[in-house]
Amino acid sequence: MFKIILNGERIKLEKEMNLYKFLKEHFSSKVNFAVAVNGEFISKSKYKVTSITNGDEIEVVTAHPGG
Amino acid sequence: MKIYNIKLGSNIILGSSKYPTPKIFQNCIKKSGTRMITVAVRRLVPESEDFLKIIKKTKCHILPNTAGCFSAKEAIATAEMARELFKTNLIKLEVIENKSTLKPSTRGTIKAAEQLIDRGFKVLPYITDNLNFAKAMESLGCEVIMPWGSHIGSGRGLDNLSKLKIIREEIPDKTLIVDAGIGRVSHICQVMELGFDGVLLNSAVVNSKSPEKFAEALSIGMKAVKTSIEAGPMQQRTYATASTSNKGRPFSK
Repeated sequence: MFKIILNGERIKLEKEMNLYKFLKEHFSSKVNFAVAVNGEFISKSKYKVTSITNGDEIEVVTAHPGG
Repeated sequence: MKIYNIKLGSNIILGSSKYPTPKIFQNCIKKSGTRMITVAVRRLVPESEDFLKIIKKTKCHILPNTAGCFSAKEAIATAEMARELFKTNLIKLEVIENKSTLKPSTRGTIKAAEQLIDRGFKVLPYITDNLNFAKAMESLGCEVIMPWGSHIGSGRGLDNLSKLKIIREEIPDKTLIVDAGIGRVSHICQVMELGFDGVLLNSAVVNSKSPEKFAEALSIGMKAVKTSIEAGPMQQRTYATASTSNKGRPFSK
């Protein structure tokens, strides 16, 4: 078991997995999103080759009203 | 006005935040005549709406921002995420250094702009009214530069007309937009009379009692000031010049 931070919240993961699988398990909504891991943008094409490891900080964002 | 390769067909860029309802937002877009809307990125939560769909319906150009970023690194990652979400290279770059004033960081903005331009972004930096800051942005290759009028959301208008005037005079060939501080239609007239190309605003509309009416006033005001500029206003003078001829004045000797 290891811990990561998802959108500012600590969560525990049972096993290691790639970003693609992680996102599929945690975000079921059809809202478009984009991702950064440890402060670096990860493009959609790299989700399957990006591993989630202990202590990773993951940001998942979407479009929002702004000025 | 020209935003990189886009001929916008409007001198107003409108923020998309804090409208009472999506319908009012849509009406404000129509009434203001804007063709470009700013948007942000924020964490996805279960209740997140698909704001992207709402914004696409407006048929306006999308200008994502890096609002709330306090470092170049955050701004760059935010811009990259925005590019993927909104499918645009345009980015309104905000790198803030002070929470109370939301003053943009010179060092952070320059650092972020440099890297974003290298990565193919078309950067629209939010800056202060400092000439050196503006010139640095011009040197980096920014085609659009956006000095503040006054603090974001203050509605105070243009704190320092002469500093903005100098930026216009020293940077004659780039698109200059006043971003932040606009509160009234008269402020827009001042911006345009300084020779700027346009305004970016949000709070002035949504904090008015009737956003839709205010949006309409924006459009009317912009049309009025542009027509007046085309007409070529008179030169200002220090001393009085009588409008009525003295010729034939009674009691004259």
